[in-house]
Amino acid sequence: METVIVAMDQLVKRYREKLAVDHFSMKVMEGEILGLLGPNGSGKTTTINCILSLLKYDKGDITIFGKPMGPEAYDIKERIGVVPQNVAVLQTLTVAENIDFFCGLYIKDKKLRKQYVEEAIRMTGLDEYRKYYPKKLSGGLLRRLNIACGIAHKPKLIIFDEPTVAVDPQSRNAILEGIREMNKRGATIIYTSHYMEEVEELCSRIIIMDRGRNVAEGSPEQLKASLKNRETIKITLPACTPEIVEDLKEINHVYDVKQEGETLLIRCDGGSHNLVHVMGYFSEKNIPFGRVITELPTLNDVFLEITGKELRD
Amino acid sequence: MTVFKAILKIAKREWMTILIYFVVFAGFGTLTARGNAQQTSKIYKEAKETIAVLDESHSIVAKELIHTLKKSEKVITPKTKDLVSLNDSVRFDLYDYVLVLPEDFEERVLAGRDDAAEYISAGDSAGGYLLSEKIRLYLQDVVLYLKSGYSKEEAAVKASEVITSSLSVSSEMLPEAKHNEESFLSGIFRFSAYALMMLLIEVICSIINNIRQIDIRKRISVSGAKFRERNAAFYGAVAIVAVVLTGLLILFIVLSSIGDPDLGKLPYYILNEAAIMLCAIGLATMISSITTDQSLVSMITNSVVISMSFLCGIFVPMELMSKQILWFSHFLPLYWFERSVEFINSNADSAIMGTTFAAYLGIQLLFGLVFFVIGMIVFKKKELYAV
Amino acid sequence: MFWHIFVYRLKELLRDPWHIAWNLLFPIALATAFFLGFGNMIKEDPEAFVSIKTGYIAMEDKEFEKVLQSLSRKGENQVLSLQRYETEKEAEKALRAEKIQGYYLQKGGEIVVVVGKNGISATTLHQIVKEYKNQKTVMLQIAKEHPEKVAEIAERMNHRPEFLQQHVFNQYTSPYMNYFYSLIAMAALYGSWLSSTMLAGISANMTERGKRYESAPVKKMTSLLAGILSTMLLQTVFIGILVLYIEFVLKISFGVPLWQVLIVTSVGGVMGIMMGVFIGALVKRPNLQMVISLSVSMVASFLSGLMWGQIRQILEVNAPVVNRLNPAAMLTSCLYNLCNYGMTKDFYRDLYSMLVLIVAMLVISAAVLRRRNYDSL
Repeated sequence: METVIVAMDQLVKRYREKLAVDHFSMKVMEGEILGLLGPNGSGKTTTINCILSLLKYDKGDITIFGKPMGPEAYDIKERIGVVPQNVAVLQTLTVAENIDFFCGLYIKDKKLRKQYVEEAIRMTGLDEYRKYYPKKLSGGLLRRLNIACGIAHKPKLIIFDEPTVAVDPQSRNAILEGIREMNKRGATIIYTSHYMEEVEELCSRIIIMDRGRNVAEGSPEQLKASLKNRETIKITLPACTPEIVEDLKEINHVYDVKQEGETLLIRCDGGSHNLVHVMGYFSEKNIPFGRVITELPTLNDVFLEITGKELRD
Repeated sequence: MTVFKAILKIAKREWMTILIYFVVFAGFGTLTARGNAQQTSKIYKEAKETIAVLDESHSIVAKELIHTLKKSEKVITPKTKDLVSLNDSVRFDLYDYVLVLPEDFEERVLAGRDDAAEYISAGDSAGGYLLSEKIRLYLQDVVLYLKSGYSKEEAAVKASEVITSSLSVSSEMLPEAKHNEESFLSGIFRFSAYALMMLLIEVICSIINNIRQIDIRKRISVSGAKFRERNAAFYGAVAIVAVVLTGLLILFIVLSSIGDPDLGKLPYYILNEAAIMLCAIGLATMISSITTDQSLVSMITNSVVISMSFLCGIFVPMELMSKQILWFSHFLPLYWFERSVEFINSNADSAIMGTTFAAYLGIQLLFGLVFFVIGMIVFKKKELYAV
Repeated sequence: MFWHIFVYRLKELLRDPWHIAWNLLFPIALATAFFLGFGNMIKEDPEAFVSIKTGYIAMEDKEFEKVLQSLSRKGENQVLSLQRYETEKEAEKALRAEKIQGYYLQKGGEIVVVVGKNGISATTLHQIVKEYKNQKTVMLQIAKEHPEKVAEIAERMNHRPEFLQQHVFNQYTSPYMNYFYSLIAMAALYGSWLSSTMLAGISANMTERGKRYESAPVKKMTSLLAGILSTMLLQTVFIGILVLYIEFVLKISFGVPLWQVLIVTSVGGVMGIMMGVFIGALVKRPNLQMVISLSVSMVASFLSGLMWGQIRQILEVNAPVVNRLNPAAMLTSCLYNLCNYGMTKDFYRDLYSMLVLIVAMLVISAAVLRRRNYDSL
């Protein structure tokens, strides 16, 4: 039976009149990487701060490792690691000292701490930078330091809040690899990000938050399957007529056809050979066409469909 | 939004700094100026010294002594009898002299004792010597009259009458002697140098450092605005901010010195203030070329301005400083500001405008120009070497 | 855990150039400026009586001339440095050139004093004439009304009692030392920035690293005490260096055993630290904390006499409650009393006031900062 590491039930948090978290519930199972997605202002960071017991909340229960979480639940806090969104390190301590300092807040044994610090430095590839001060590090290295400070003590639960912001592809890759490695070694991870492709790649399960509520939950495939649009066929058609558009709409599983300049967008709600049927039509009618692209729905599409396309705070 | 408007908005954000220094100036500047206006007039005028008299005896001789002293000095009955506290008041110039008349004062005087009364004065001060002499003179006269056969009451009154009548000594002052009382106006303008420099340097540095942030600078430089227009707008706005802040300070001074006899000299003080304002702009340019960190700017500004204020007579009178320090102070702009204030204070309205006054203003402007040029050179070099 | 936090807080603060500059270098720079500005006045009393350079033109009243001669006799009681002039023009020239401060001449039987400007010297020159006239007037009056006593009175006039005795206190230090006491008080209050920085690092509602810190299994009180202790140590060292600099480099003696001064200034330093903790507990925004710390330090230092030496005493006479509540005035007054009068009741009053203030700020801050979660971040 799978163990529940974090159980949040009907969490409510208000900032004066604004309802930041609205009866939000979630469970995080042991060993999974849970992605927590949502537009700006959806309540993700508030939820995380509540999990960490940094914020007071109005209603609801939070248990971690089977125990109620609270500001003085030190036995629980010992097993949690945090990698905040903004780099949170001490500017006047070196890389090694920063990691040692934060690790020392969890691990009292000096020898063990020294060993963990070395492992964290190696894991995040900061070996040759151990004597550098944070202001001398590039953005990617700073992010790695930020991570090292949060995971050096080998926590069982790690919360990553947008850890790859403004980071180059190589560093991002290294970070994601590191996260997978930690997960393999038994850490449960809660991961928030706006980069859909990395969430899709990394997370076994995703919760989408909007306006403080849980609006969708499942694996990436499950979420994509929930979309009406299962396939989009883009065809460059120099001479498109309304009759062609109407005819295409008659094809099985085609539910929407739109013309955008010289490109025709054909949306299908299911089926497995939609492209064959569409090509068959053009061939039959002897209609010349240009490039053909077929796209499967992405998590981004899921996200936009669920949360809407209007701009948020 | 134009560069001009942007700078005004940045300046508005510094409202807290402006408020703090304005309050410091309004409160402390006024207090200091009022306090020193009284004090210095005593030193330079044959006027009343402040004597605190603690009369435990309430005898006839004591009463007549106090009555006699009141004719030429300012006599106060202190609120406390604690000698330590009274000594502190003397040391800090609240009183010039404290006279303690014990319960058996009259008997001691009549017995001719050297310790008939106690006094407290500052060290070996000239003022203390003078007052001691006046009191001794009276008491000696009382004894003389007593020994001559007069009664206690007669002796006390006669001694008082003689002293009063001999107060009229013929005296002359050299013609065209300089007027050397320190007016309230000169005191408050003197203090304003500190407040104005602190205020202007902090605000202008904040403006310059905001605009100098590398990405903002780049963004402005690739915009459609022409180089000359941009810089004219920039420095125009800085000048307006400086003028407004200086104007506010001057307005406060004018409002708090309504009725001051020296108000006719106000235009000269304003000219002097304008000179130090321009100097402050130059200094701000130089400081902001050294660092963009506003905390460091605060630190440098405080160190430089407060030190300069002490060395140039803003907080401590220059005549009390050593020759070497005075020589060194010649190389500081506030020294010339202070000399200018003194010059305006000491001379009649009609005698101020001339080469001396112009020289004082000119030197301040020169300092400002030098600071400005140094700042610009450092900016240029930093851009060149991408620092 | 306590020592781990303590050691790292010390390292963190010691390596911050901003704190070294503000808390150590700036007070030393200011002390140097004070020394350059008026160090000589601390060693030599500028108000000390110096014999007045005076001139006189030969007069008919030889008695008065004799009086002038006796007052210019070299020795402890020399009042005048006398110079004789043949003509009034010469004397006037010397007066304009400020070679003398005044001169005497006789006009129409009257002794006239001519001075260049008003002041104590001018008043003293007048007083000499008044005393001379006074003697004559008294003698004449007594001769008229009690002629039998004239001989006795003449004798008495030659041997007159002093009547006045100066009250001497234990120790005399220059009033200009007050500027240094105020400077030390200002430096002590600047310790509030050290503690504000420390506090920002352990509070989730102030900084990101505070959030990370508060997510860790560390007791808030442990963090707070370790942080306070590290800042106290640093501030004590900084102020100690300042005191030693004043005493040994600037060679301005406090006049009492240095250990006593260091104890008092250390208490002051702790008071500054606690002020920062107190401000940090009540004010969340770091920028606002800095502004408030700076304003309070500046205003308190000014009111303790940093820029205008008299203000503390003026307040002591007219509104003593201000001095009782002003932390800078407490420290300044404590040092002043120690160095001038010793460990008097006023000294202890100020020392205990500082200790009470420290405890009060600690208790209130601890109560506010105890909480581990917030309404908003």
